[in-house]
Amino acid sequence: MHTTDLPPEAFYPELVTFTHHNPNPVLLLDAEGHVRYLNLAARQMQQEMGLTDADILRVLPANLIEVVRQCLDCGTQARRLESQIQDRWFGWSAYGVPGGQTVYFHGADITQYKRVEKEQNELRLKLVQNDKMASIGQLAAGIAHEINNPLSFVVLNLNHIANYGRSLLKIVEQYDKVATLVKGSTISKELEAEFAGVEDAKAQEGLEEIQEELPCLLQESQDGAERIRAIVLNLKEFSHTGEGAQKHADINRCLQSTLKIVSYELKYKAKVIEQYGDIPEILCFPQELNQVFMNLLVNASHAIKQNGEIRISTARRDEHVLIEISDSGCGIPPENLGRIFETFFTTKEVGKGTGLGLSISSEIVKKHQGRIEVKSTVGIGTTFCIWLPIGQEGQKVKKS
Amino acid sequence: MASGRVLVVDDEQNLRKAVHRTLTKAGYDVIEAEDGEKGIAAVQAGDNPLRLDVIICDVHMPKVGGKEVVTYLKSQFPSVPIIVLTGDPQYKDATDFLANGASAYLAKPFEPAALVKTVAKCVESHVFHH
Repeated sequence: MHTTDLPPEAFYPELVTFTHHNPNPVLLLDAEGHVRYLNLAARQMQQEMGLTDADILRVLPANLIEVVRQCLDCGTQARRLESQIQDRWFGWSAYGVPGGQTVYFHGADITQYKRVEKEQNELRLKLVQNDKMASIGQLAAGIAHEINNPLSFVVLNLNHIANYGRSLLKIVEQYDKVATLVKGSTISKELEAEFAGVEDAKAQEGLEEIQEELPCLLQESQDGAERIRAIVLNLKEFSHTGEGAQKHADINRCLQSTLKIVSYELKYKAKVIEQYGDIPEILCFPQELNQVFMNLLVNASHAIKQNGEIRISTARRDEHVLIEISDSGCGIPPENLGRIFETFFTTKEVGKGTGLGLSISSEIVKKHQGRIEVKSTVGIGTTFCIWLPIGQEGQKVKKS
Repeated sequence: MASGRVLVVDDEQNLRKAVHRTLTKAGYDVIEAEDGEKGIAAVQAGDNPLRLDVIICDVHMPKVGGKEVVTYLKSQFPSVPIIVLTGDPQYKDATDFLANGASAYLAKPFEPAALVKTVAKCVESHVFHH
């Protein structure tokens, strides 16, 4: 007989020792789910985690009883079961002993594997998010460029139309003076009829209205064109492609341009108060900071139901620029305050929040060697403070 | 009233017309062309082919890139100042254009006053160089 053909019973003490001294936890449960046996590793795990005998089941998968039943009833094995306890993850396999009343659980600590998996997931989502931002940037720059072309001749032509309009009105006025003079003198019946026709036409076409409204209409159109120009400019400033380079930027301007982008989101909900201080330009990645400002402003707006207030202020504090964005919104409960910068932490409804905004923001600020702080009172509002170091250029400014 | 001869090269007809009108009103003779080659043909077909004071040229055109156009025009009319039109105010090559022979650039959309002022400056410098 070959040794490999021997039944496991032939290795009675060896296999027991192997199980008992196995570095992975092994538990034996009866049909009711009571623990009948723990190997040394399981005991050690129990001690490390400070679990009582009654608590030990918590290391096993949550659907424990179901698994036990299944293994015993059908004699099946269950694999790839997972459990989480005290920041540790375990993977389990369960085996029903054929014809018996017990089930073995054989576990492995997969905490490290889970951590890597989570990190990879986060990284992947961040890459997707970065990619998305880059695509939005390219798209925005493209659209902005396309809008600027027709906008150019609209701006030029509006100017000419305004001039022509003014000229026409002047001519009509001049003509009216002459007409009044002529009508005062003796004129033929035919001419009188002609004048009457002119008066009719004036009334029908609403000359008075035209005289009154034309300058306003033109002014409004010019204002509109100017606003389009500003939006396009802000769109470009906000998400400029070919970036990635650090440059000196005025944080006040960054805030202003970001504010214009999100003003459509804010203006129906809140009054925006801007208090820009005298701050030096800092070396930074402006459009990444714009992304931070946008996240904070959009969050502020989401926190406000209606008639709220959003306050934006900047100031110099020694070697830092301090940016404060406050809202009079619902506030963040203390239990959540410590978690808001965690990746994927969100309290917004599904589809509204990704849980990425603040975690990305916090990373961008860190990348600038700055820090981001939050103060919040439920029902009163929330204030985010961003501290950015002024750096060399600022120091030069200070010395001179 | 200012005077001078200006060539406007832009693939967008409406923009050419608008620039044309603005500059005509300011007193300039304007020749329009939809690309660099046609621009040169138009200039040489005129009564006074030698006289050109300013070239205004878009740098985003479908057939030829802005850099090529500027280089080409500069090779054809070495002494004539070129004003570059760009749809991107932060166009990273704007400074390259200036380094490569353009005299000034205007970011679209521009006000008529800015256009006239820029052209006037370039004409002055051109006359001065002569």
